[in-house]
Amino acid sequence: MIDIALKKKRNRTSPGPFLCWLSTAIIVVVCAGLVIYPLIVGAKAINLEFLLTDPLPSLKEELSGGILTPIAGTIIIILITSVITTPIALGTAIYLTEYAGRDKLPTRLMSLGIDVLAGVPSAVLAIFGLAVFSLPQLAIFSSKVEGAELSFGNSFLVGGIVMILHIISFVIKAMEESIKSVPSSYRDAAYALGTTRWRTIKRAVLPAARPGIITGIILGIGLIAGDTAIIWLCVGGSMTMTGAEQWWLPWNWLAVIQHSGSTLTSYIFYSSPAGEGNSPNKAFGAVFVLMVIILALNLIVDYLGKTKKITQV
Amino acid sequence: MKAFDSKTASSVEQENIVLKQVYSPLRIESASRRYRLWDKIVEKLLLLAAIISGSLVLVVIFFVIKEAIPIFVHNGVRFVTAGGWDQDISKAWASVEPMWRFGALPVIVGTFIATGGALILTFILGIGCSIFLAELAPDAIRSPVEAIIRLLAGIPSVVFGLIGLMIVVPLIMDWFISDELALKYIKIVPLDGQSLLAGILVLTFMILPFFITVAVDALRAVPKTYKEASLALGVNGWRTIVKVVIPVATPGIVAGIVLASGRAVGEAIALSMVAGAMAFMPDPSHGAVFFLEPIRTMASAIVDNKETMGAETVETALFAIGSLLLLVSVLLSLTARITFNRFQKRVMGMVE
Amino acid sequence: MENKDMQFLRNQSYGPAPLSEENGERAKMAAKTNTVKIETRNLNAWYGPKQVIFSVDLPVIENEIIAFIGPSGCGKSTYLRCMNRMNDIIKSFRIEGDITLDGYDIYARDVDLATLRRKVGMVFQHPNPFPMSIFDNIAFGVRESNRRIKKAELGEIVEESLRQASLWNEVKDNLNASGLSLSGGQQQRLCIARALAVKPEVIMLDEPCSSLDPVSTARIEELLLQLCEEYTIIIVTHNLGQARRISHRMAFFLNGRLIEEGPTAEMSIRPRCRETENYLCGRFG
Repeated sequence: MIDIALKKKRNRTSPGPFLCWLSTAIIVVVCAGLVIYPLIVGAKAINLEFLLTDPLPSLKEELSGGILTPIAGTIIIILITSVITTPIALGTAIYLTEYAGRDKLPTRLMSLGIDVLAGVPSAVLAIFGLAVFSLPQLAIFSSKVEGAELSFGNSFLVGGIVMILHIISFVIKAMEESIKSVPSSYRDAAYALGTTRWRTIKRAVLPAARPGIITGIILGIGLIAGDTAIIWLCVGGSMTMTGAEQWWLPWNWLAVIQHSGSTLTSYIFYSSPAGEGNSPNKAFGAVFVLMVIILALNLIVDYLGKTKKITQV
Repeated sequence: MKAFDSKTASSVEQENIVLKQVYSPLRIESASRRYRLWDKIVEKLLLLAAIISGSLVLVVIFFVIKEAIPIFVHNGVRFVTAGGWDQDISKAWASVEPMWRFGALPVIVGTFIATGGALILTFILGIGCSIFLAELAPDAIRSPVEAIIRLLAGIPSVVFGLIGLMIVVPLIMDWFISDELALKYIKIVPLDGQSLLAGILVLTFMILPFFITVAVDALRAVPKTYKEASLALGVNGWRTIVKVVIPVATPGIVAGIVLASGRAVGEAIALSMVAGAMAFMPDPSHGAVFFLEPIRTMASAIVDNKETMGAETVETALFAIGSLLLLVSVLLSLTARITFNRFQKRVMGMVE
Repeated sequence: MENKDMQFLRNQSYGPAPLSEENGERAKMAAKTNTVKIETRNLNAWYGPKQVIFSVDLPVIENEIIAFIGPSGCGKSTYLRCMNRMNDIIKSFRIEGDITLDGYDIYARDVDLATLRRKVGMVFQHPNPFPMSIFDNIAFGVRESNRRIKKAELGEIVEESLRQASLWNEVKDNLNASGLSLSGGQQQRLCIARALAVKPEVIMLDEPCSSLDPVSTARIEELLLQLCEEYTIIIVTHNLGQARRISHRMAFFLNGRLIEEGPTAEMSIRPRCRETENYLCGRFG
């Protein structure tokens, strides 16, 4: 049996594994660059004044103000969208996992509708929003255009509502996953005590799925913060709030959201050489703030993922 | 029976009160009617939420197509076969009379070549990385790399666009576009770095995480016993991956490509920033300069032409583009779903 | 179909097979020639900090069928996988001691794993044919060891392996059918054919019949009895009846230790150790 010995046959090592390592390295390096470069460049532009001033229209970078209104705008959109999306998404997720018959046609159709919505590009959703909210009947969401049978169609409200369409599918999926992964022993134990279905869900299943549900909401917030197409088309391209002058006063808030403004993403788009603006450094500053928000959200999601695993021992 | 008879009515009542106080599930029994009604209401509310979610997409489809119909009525098939998008837009914007002629071929072609190029690059880089994550990576490296990929997925498109604009475009300008070249082509199209190449590069890294996530899941779903059987026959690790694992995981990998292409087709903002300021159809006869020419895709056209949406016909033309995009994305969503279902059935069937 | 199977089962002889003349003779012959095929000396193995095999010395003799018996989790499968170095895949696995094939240390530095694993073939507990055609299943290992093999030669090897595995007549008409379309027993015989195609010298089977019905089990047992004329066979089994029916020698493992080994006939009737006796009598399992 001499042939099993002395056989370190020039192990024709194929180049395959090396190429795999190489492509991974390329991807990691590019990603690191994508995250680190804007943070470094953007950090230079960050100071308290930058964060607390409104943007000013100016072609000179030093005079173009700060990003206070974009930050406020981002927060506004996040609030509008999340507040409406969360109950609907949660209700859908609960219904689809707990109540609906798994293979019945209506359930499959609803699932299909949600899946197809997930694939619709945000640019298409954006012009859909414009089409719908330009209808004069919906003037309450933006404002009436004088002399025409039209609504203006651009406002925080419009953007926020259209944004719902963009994120709801993902949020539903995330919530569904977490509800599905609650062990059936929780439900069985509750039923064995003789409670009704909704009480079981409310008291036993949802609390167990809570980390996953919150993850879903946070994922949604991440998507909201990052989208530009819907903002650009449905909220508008103006940098400052077009509504009430003093937008930070609560009683003005309704007027503010009926009018337009900017968010971090539209500010970045506008200030970059691709938009009107001439302030790439400020754009990076806004990127800095945006990335900090997104990194923070990512960390929270990771942290929740870990706590969930611990409680499921 | 005699024992029960001996209890008086009042003592039985007292027992019941005690029982109800001690055992709360039993307490429900007495209020069960109220709970059952509430239960039904909640169920209907949840159903309502689900119906709303499921039918939103129908509303979108209906509206977009409805707005787009005039364009198709006026142009017919020529809409997708004729060129001249930019000129049509400026004419329609400038004229007082409504101008209905639009040729969307440049943006359609732009979408195809940008997406196609990005998919090829994504597959090349992504399959290597997926195999790495699923099979080759030591544990200590795997988790950080997976976290980085997840992070990549969360970076907003406008950040990709900005970095593309500030770094990639100037690089392309420096490396590939010499002054002579720019002069040579100046009559045809201005070459300024905003190009198909920039668009493909940026698009690739935007869609990579989506492909990788699905491909890694597909590779991991391959039952371990196939790998064991192959190794026990003396086949080395890499050949096992290539000849056994990947063929089994192929439908899942295809689903990953479909998912990534859906994302690529819909990308508007980043491409608007890096791929070009005009809807130009690159000419393959220009050789390698093909990649240096600017393009516009359907999605980025919607964003780019926003200012001219005041003109009614332009607005309708954009809806027409939107409806084409919608058609493509719906088809891709359905394909992805079907492919993934087939993959799941295949893997489940084998594990029996 | 059922009647033939019932007849087949009824015609099986009762009682421990090695008591039959032929097997007893062969056992004696093997003991005489005493060519040791695979042997372990002072084998110890750990999964991380936990030791799972304790100082096992066990020779396996050429052309015999040796059965590893013992309760679940006592290390029989782990021990088996040491012999074709399948445990190398597991990162936390550590081994000490000698394992030699024909006198050569299989853990030596210059050993080619591919050749080793072909020479020491393995059949698993649950049949795991590749999701390919029957032909490709068997050809897979052969093609990988010899990239330039011609189609005709490959066809011959496939046919010969299927004949050896008693599967040829059942599948010869449709070699392109998927391996997964066969019944459980046929799939397991396909796996045996697949292992045979790369010309092994030792065949190791890890509870190969545990997921099969009695008729398929009987067929495979008959097959193993035929195969042991050319190959050395190690079979891990939970089924004491099976061990008695087909093996020449048995090795009893308990908690990672080799308690006793010897000719099946002797060990069944007069085990030397108390634990062996308890196990064989079913006092624990």
